[in-house]
Amino acid sequence: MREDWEGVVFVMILTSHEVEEIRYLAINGHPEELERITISDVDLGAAVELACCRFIWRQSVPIVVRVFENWANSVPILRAAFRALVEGVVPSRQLKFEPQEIEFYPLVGTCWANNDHHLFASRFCKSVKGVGFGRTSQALAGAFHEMADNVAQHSASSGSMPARGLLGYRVAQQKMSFAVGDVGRGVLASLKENSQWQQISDSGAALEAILHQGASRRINAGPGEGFKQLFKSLGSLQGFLSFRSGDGFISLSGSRDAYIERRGSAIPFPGFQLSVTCSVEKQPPKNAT
Amino acid sequence: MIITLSDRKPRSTQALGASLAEQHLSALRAALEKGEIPTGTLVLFDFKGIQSTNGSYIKGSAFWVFLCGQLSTRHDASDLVGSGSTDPKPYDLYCAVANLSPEVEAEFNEFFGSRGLPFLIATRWNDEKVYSARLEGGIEPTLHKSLTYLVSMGKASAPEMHLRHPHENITVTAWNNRLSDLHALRLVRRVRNGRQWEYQPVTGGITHGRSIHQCKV
Repeated sequence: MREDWEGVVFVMILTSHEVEEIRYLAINGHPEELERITISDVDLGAAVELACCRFIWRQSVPIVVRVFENWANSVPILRAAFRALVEGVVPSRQLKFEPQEIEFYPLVGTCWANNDHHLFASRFCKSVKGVGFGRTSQALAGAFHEMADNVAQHSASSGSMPARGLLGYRVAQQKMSFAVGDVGRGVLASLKENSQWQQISDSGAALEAILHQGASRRINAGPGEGFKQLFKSLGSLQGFLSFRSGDGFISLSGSRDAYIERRGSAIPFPGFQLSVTCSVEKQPPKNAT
Repeated sequence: MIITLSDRKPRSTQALGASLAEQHLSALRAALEKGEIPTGTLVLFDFKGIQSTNGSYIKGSAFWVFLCGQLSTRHDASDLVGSGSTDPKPYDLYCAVANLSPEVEAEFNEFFGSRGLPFLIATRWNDEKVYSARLEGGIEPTLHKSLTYLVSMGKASAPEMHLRHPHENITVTAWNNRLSDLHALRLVRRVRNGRQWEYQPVTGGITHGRSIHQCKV
């Protein structure tokens, strides 16, 4: 974040990196510091993460919620993300199949695979195709579906209702992002259901295991398929991928044959949030859309 | 038993994700729990009208039936069963698929082939029975050869295989192991005949698909 001589912090585009600082200030008892921050835009992954924070802290940290609402009043993408996750507002049926630039969809309960969701998925596919991804749009839609389905499948213990979640996408010419977030139990607790992964002790290692070793909570059912499909769908596209759960995060940038991986610890926070940005250009996207 | 996916709700031309697979199999799971499905039933997944699928869907549908069948052949099955309502349970089921589009067949081959496991694509069937099928996916060459012999014989026990194929130089015990492995792979059925198990291919004529010939397990 950048601080000017009057003590007001300006953030041109808020990313997951700044959301991490926001979580730190909120959790470590300095929420008033957030009131000095002015933002002009939020990238998709950060919008989904902030919506999850807004949902989790809606009663426990009212001062933060007030700051978030102020930001949302001036940043439409944030307002849309909050409306979808916190209020459960489904996109208007009037949109039907028309491609969109930005859209969010709330995941509530087990009944998300309904007609509205199919329309949302169709619009995503059309929107991505429309900005230059051609036939790859179908594969990306499949990967987005897989990531969304993970919320229904893994965000709560077996037999319980899935946690609340949020899907979003954003497209620009030759560039697209999608993001999925939930406020559930997180990746580590999910893997603990499977005795094969009992030795994993932290969320960073759990993220590593699901991304690279096909780890899954399902017992004796072989490796998980979702992240395999995600990487397959990206193919040779240049991408930036960010994954955060519990106190772990992993980011990957580059393309399938040569991802540069960053792994670290994060401020502990419930659920699992991820974002994927990719570009048909040869240079990797420096940041999300 | 035939499950026609295009008739299942929610209707879609895309069979994607574990949640949809669970929805499509909910009636089958309920019937299995009530004991309404006869032992040894072959579940045929008809993909007519389905344009695409993915690994998570296959894992939650055809592979789920395959795993249930495999568990039913294991003595230690109770140690391997998860507590979740959708975890595979030991049910004596067999599995085949039909009407796969080229894209869907490629997805199946990648899924089963990468696990070194075979699957059957029905080529002729009616409501009662699958008359012929094509073997795809992955299988060990020795098991592949044993299956070929069994298909040509129609049915056989391990001693009969030993007598019929002396040039293979395989003991009766080894034949027994191979046939037992084919049973665990859900490619053959078996019934007790005196002191021996008698084995029979799960469908009529089984031909061997391209992926089987390319497979090096």
